Amino acid sequence: MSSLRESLPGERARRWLTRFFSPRAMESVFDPFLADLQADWLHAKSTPSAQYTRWSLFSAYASLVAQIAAFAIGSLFGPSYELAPAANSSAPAVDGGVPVTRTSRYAAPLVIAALITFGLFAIMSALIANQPGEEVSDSSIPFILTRLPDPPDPIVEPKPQLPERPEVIPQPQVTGISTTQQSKKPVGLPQGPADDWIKSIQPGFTKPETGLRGSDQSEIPIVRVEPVYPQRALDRGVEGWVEVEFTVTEVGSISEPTILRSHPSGIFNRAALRAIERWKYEPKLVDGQPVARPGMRNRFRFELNKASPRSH
Amino acid sequence: MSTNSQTTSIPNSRRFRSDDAPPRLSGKEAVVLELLHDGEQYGLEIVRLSEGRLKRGTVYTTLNRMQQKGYVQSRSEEKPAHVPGIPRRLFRATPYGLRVLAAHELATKFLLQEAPA
Repeated sequence: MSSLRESLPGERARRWLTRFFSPRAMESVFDPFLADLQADWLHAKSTPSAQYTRWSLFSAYASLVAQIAAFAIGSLFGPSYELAPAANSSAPAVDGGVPVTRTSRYAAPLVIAALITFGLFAIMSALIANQPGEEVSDSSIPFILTRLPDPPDPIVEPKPQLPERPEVIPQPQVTGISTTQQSKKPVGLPQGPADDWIKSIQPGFTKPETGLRGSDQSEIPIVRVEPVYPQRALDRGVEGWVEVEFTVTEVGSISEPTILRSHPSGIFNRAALRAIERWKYEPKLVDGQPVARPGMRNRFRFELNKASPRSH
Repeated sequence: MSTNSQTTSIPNSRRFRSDDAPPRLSGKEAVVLELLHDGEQYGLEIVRLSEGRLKRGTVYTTLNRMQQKGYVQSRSEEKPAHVPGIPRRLFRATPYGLRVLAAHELATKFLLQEAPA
């Protein structure tokens, strides 16, 4: 029985409260609250149809914090509340209760209010640090690094510390370019004006109107963030895919991402939306003006035999 | 001038009151007295019966204040020794509290021009 009593909710909180509040305050305010909490909890335990979830318990403790705050405020402005037992027995008694000094009447509520404030900040920082259901892993790295092809062997390394040797050929700028910079220039295509190059090999060529799904280089994201495989699906071995439609804004960011289709429904939607919101595109220029591109689509595949989910 | 000197000598908690002032009843206290009109209730039951008008985080402070005013009184629930947990507390309205509630309702009706002529 003693173990059951110890395991009842509110026992630890009651021990903590007795350090700060007088027996009279405990008897009239906090003990009734905790007694109702325990009775509610025991009733839910004994009734199969009733459910006392963790959220119910969290809500009850949040109410206890509100109770403490209300009591502290009431002791500041009310006429006859008291908090900690007063050490000065010569102070006037209030309603026949424990004598209260003016110092304890104001200091204790302020201390408790400060504790509540710092406690709320601590809870908020803890919630931000650990999102439930989201596992921090290597797959959550926000940038996808593409391995560049190895540079040709005969390239001579530049020696900037020897400027007196002008005969050394400067290093081509291909070596050492980051992924983002590399993606700005499509590999394998001539670097000059494309229309002129095509016209030189095919007279009469006219540039077709490229739609949103054309091979426009600006439709290739310069920053691709792969989605995090949901831990729940990982545990259950669930695979699937999500098709997302979104708008690329004038500055290249993503807006209004929506789920078009997904399989299985609802399992991977959140992970896909979180990933696509971090993508970046190069702004598309029409007549020198950046334009938005609605109706862009992407499909994320979540497969367990791969190291991480991939997008197409 | 004499009034000012008297005011400064009154403690803060009583500065804006006087001993012969009529009893005060807040909106929450009126709700509690309405719900306790028919009998004893636990604090949590009062919150449930209030249908959102009272909050769990403040009802016990309100009940404590009403006890000090004499509007309600409480007793500890008798429970067998083998039943675990803190004994619950039952609250009920005092005759004085019910009179204050009746006066409050009458005054409200009068102020709303609904009292019989």
